Amino acid sequence: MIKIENLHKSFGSLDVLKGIDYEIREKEVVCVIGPSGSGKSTFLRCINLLEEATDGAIYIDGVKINDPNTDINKIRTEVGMVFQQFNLFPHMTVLENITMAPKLIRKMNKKDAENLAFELLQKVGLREKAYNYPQQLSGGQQQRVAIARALAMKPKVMLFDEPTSALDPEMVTEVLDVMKQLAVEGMTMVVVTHEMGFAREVADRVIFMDGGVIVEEGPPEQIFGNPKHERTKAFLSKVL
Amino acid sequence: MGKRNRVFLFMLLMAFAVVLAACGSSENSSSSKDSKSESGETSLKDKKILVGTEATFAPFEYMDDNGNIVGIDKDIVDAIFTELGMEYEMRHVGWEAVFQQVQNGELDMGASGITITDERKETFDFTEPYFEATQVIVVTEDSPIESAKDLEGKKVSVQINSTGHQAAKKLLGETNPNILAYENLPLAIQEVINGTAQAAIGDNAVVYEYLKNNPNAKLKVIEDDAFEKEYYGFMVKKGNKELLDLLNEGLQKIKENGKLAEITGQELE
Amino acid sequence: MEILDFRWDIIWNYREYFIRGIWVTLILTICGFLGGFIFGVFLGLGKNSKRKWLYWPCKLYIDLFRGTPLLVQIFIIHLAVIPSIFGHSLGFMVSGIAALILNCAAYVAEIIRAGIQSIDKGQMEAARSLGLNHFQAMRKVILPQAFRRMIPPLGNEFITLLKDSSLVTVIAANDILYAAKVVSGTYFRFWEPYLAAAALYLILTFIVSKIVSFIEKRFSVEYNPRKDKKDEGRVAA
Repeated sequence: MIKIENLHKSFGSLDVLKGIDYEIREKEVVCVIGPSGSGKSTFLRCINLLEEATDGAIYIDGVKINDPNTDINKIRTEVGMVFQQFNLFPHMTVLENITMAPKLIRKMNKKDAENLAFELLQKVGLREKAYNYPQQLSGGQQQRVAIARALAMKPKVMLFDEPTSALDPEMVTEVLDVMKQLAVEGMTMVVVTHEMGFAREVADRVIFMDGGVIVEEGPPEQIFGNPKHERTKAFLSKVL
Repeated sequence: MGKRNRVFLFMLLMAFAVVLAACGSSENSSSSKDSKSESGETSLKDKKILVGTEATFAPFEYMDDNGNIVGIDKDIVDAIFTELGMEYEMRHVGWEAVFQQVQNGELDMGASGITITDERKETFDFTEPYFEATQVIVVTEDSPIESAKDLEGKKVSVQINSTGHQAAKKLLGETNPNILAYENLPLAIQEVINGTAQAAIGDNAVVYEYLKNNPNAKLKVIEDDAFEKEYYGFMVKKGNKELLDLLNEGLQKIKENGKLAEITGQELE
Repeated sequence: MEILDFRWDIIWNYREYFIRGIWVTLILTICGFLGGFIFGVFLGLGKNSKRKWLYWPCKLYIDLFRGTPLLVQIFIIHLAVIPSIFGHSLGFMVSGIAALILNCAAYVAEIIRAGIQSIDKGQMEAARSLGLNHFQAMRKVILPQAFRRMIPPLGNEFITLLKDSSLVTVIAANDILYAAKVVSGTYFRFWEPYLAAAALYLILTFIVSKIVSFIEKRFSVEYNPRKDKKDEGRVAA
């Protein structure tokens, strides 16, 4: 469903992605792990065009998305993103955060949008917070709202950029549980994360990135249990 | 916290008091700045007299290409002081500043085409007249205005707090918003050219000089008996009898020997 | 001692000048600010744009009007610009308001620009990731947040404009300062008229700052930005 061909990204003279080739199939959960500076976030952000590839191609359902003629905004309605810093809109209530895009872009009417929002809030376990403002919620709650907000657009794939890295440990579980739920329901997900436990449990495949390239990839049993590359081994020995 | 605030407030009040005292004292000290001799009578003659003017009032005072003040007033002052054997320095300070600074002592005298008026005499002393003038009206060539009466309801520009300004107030009313008062007369006349005002009122000698120097301005002058004769005098701080007597002495001398008439082109009685 | 011998009756005699002065000052300032604000928003957004043809004209305009004194701008607009465009002057009110609008716009533009840039990049990213285009993101997410931040500096600009409006006396606009000058010259008294003028300006700026404070509080009631993640105890029932 997502095809990445020879993806390169440089910031000025700094090469961050040095040629990535990958395919992500429907309903797959792919976790991306690696040291900081490896380019994992940049890789993820290229998929929804928050970063523009310097070279190479990215296809979603056969459509080349980094082509100058494609409608970026339309692509992004199909690709949901959850950020490390949540990025909820502080001047809107939780409900408004979720209903804003469906109303504005999918032209949903207020009632339908709110029904959808309540459904999603129920799913992430925060129905009673609908009328609160983001600042009144804990980090874990905010992130769950952020997930609901992204889901409201009914995307084909969900991207997660280190979703739990900014959370206190006791709140990590509640967010990971929501993500597990999504995976079980068959959402295509690409998750950049440091949560090895989650990757091992939920991922269909794990990518290990280092120095702007994919060093090794494969099912979690392989990557965690039987890593082939020295660098993979070295990294895992430090984090596990 | 309360104690700190009180200390701060006290210091602020002290600072304010110092400033106030300084303002008060400077009024008295500047006139004696240059004086080096002891006795009162001769000290004024040795002192360099500071003369203030607004040098945008040709032909009485204006700036030449080198930034020097020139004009009729300058020439008369020069003649007087030569007769008296005294030194002076003429400074361009601005019209309103002439009054302020003569009053507070920063300047010894004002020589700026100043008309002698009763209001001004309440606060200042004037020499004998040295020039006779009157107000005239300046309008554009195609203006329908023909006399002072026609100024009713029109916007009239003047130099702020000049006798032209007083004349306008007398004609149109003390608080009439149609009187537009500017820093100097050239600006007031320019506003007639631009159309902001329909007429300007100013001293005849100056107006005619302006027209002479700006033949393309398309202006015309209207004289009207509504305007009284005015007399220019040199202005000193009220009570400065010593300087006043000296000036009058010099003025009388140059009247008698014809120098005054030579400079102004006017025979004054 | 003459300093303490105040004659307030001269202010009373010319109260018409002062009252008219208050009106003129207020009209000049309010019109100048409203016009300057509208124009300034466009300038500020333009200067934020990545399109060169928008950015450069806005930048040049802003630099020009922030880099020259308002007094000079007033003279040029009143004595040169308006007469050349319209063939004749349109009076000091038009010139004064025009100068204040053009000047204020440049400062408002910078306030707008700074306000927008102060919003976290993540907000724009989140909005765009949902599929909003640039304009929608600005309208729904960035600008509402930015405006709240702009209220204090905008309030300051209004107060500055109120004080700077006194410069129009040079084109004989009969505002508060003009009243003081006329009274001062008529009676040769300097304390009373100028103190009276200062007092009037002070009263006006005081009233304005109270209004601005009120607006600030009103807008920040619902929304108190806290980035502290450790504040989990703040879960409201």
